[in-house]
Amino acid sequence: MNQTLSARQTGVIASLLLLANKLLVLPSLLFESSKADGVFIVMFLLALELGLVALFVKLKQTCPNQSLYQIIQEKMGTFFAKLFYILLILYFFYKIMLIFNISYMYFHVQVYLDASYYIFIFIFLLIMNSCCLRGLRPLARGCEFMYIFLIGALVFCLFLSIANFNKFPLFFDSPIKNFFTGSFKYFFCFGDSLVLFVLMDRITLDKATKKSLFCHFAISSVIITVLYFMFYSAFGSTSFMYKNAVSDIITFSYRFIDLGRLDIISITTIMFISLLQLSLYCYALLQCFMKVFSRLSKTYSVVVFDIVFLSIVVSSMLNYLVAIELGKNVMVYFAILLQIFFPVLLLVPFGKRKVKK
Amino acid sequence: MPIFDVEQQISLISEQLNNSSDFSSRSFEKQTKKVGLVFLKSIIDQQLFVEGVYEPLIATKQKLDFASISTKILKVSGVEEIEPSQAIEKILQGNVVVLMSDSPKYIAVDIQKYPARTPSEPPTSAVIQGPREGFTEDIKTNITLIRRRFYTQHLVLKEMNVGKYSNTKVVMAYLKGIANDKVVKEIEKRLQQINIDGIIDSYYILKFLEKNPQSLFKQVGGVEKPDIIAAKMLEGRVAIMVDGSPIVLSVPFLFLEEVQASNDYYSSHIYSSFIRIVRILAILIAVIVPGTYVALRIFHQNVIPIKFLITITNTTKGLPFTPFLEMLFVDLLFQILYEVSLRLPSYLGLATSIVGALILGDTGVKAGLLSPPAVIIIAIAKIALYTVPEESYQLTILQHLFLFVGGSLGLFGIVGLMIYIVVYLASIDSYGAPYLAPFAPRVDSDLKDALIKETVNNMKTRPQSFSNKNKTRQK
Repeated sequence: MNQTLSARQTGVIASLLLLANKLLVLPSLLFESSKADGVFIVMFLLALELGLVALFVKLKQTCPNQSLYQIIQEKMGTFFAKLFYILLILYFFYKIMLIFNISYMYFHVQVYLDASYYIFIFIFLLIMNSCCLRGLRPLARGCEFMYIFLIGALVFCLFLSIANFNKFPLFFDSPIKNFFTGSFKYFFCFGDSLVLFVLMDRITLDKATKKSLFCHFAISSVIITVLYFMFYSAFGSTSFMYKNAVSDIITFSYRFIDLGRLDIISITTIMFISLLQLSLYCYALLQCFMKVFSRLSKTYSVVVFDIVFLSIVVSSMLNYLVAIELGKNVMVYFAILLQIFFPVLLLVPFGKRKVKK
Repeated sequence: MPIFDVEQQISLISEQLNNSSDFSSRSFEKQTKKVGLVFLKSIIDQQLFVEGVYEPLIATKQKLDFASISTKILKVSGVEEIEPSQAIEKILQGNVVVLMSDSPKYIAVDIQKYPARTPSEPPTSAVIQGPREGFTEDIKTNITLIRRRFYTQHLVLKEMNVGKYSNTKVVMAYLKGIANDKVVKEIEKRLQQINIDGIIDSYYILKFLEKNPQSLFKQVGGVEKPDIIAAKMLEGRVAIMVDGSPIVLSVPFLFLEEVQASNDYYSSHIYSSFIRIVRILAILIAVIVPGTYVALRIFHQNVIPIKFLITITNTTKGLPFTPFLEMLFVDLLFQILYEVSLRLPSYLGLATSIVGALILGDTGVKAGLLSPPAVIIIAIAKIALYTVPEESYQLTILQHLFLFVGGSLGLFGIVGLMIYIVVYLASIDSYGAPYLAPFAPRVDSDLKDALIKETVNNMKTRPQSFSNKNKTRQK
């Protein structure tokens, strides 16, 4: 069952994860924090994300045949391995909640004005569960199959946004301090490449994989950066009012092309991307869950996940604003710990422990 | 010296065949020995029997033993010596069994002949240019059709009988040195493991060859033309012929094969590429459009362009059905018409089509039961469905699934179902070949014969999406 992913599939997964929750509300939030310099914040955070991918490559080169769990177990013992995986579970769970709430808000505003919240929960859970139960390889192949269409659709949206291009964004209009506070506050929106760490025993690192990983990373990074640039140029000082960047940048394009609401392209694309991202996150979460609670089978883990997910969603009625506040105040520390501290620590060469088998 | 009584043996064989009405026998004395011939007259070539077996045996002056009968006396080729225990099996396969009172063994002469139609162009694989012959129900004809495309000793034919009562002849055909031995062995093993009362058509075998027979998506190809199966065998696939069926199976099978047609290989590669893209679009239209239309009308009216929305609002005013039920109703009408036109004789089928398409559709709209957009949407989707007629059954099911999901969950449900189907297809494995190859996993060399088709001289390797030997096709 331990089938490895191809080089292209690894790159595609990294690329799709990178797009998670960065195309909708984040441009507006970054504008609130540091105006049009939000483009630089996102570039800076993408550079940090690239560093995380580089750390992954380095770790994979150091321990080519081991899983992340085995590496931590060898270096720090089973307790720390379990602790790290529990932190990962919490982090991935938060990410799922965040993507779910942002997507829900987006779809609700754009196309589902009258639809019930539970329709979304039902679809999200159904697709996440079924994709996870099919396994990583079918999921990765599915991502690979749809990737070109999704990226093509996003590029098309960016192309359409030219119609809304107003003037160059006014850069450096915010104090430098805002750049750092913005980068820190929204650091939790990044770190999606942590999923690769969890899947590292399913990835064979060769020259092709490295090339694919960095190429696909570059594609997503360019799309994100251009999107932020076009968004700030289109809406200028009112950018903070628009919460659905990828749709908003093409809102007025139909006036030039006369084909009705063209944002249906971006809406469907985001539907695909968010479902695939959530499935990937859910798969990574379940992998961590099964490591911590090794007696639970995959099916039972999915059931536990569903119960917890539903309990939290239904009882707290968590919305995207609460989720973002939670991210800014709490999850950002998790993110620093998991994205910087732990990977670096794993690369530090210190004595190997004997693991009881 | 006679060692048994021929007449007694004949009556014994007749009894074993339950004194079947088509059982027939002849007996005569020749050179101091009694000779008996037993056969089923319904499945032998009667003219060949008289001219090639019966008359030569009566007229001969040579010594009657197996060697001289098989080489000098009989004017037919398929002669073999058999044990008495094999007699019934051979008779049932269309052999004449010769019994001689002084020989402990029998002689079987194969002169089997069934009523068979001549190879003609199959209705689902018509071509504008290219070979027009198709497989028939007669397995011998089908073998001949394949054999004439491969004048090589590398063509391997393996025969076996499947089915407790039908004892149907099943033949595996592949090219040695190209087909993967592991796949050949796996197929052979699966065929040998079949324990069923009868095989009526290759579809019966197909379900035993599929790894997931419950799946909506077929994992074994079905081909009606010998040129297509020859091309597939050259790629390293294995063909399975079943007596009584004009459909020859092929494995491994990829999803891509659904959009490939024989005509693509006998016309310009540019046109073939264009038409393949059209086919893919047609499949998407057939499957998704009715569901999307319903989803837009129920959940997302704000997405529909305003001019079209006004048209829809005007035409659906006063309809007794909800958009979902209306679409289901139109679809049901079409399905009924389709079934009727399939089963009625052609002259009545035409009348039904006129009644269905013109009178029912037009009057339904005028009576205020249906709206023109719904009729048009179903008409477009159904026409699109038959761009790939072999897959129309599974596409029809998918169409209804999307319709149901679109009507109950909207656009997001449709997207979710699409993801589920893609991931499901990605999990299918046909004898080691990923079902969505060469797209997922991407196999660059095989993309030359995927959506965009290259010319034959540019396709230098065999498909890499599934295992085969000797990857080089041309240098």
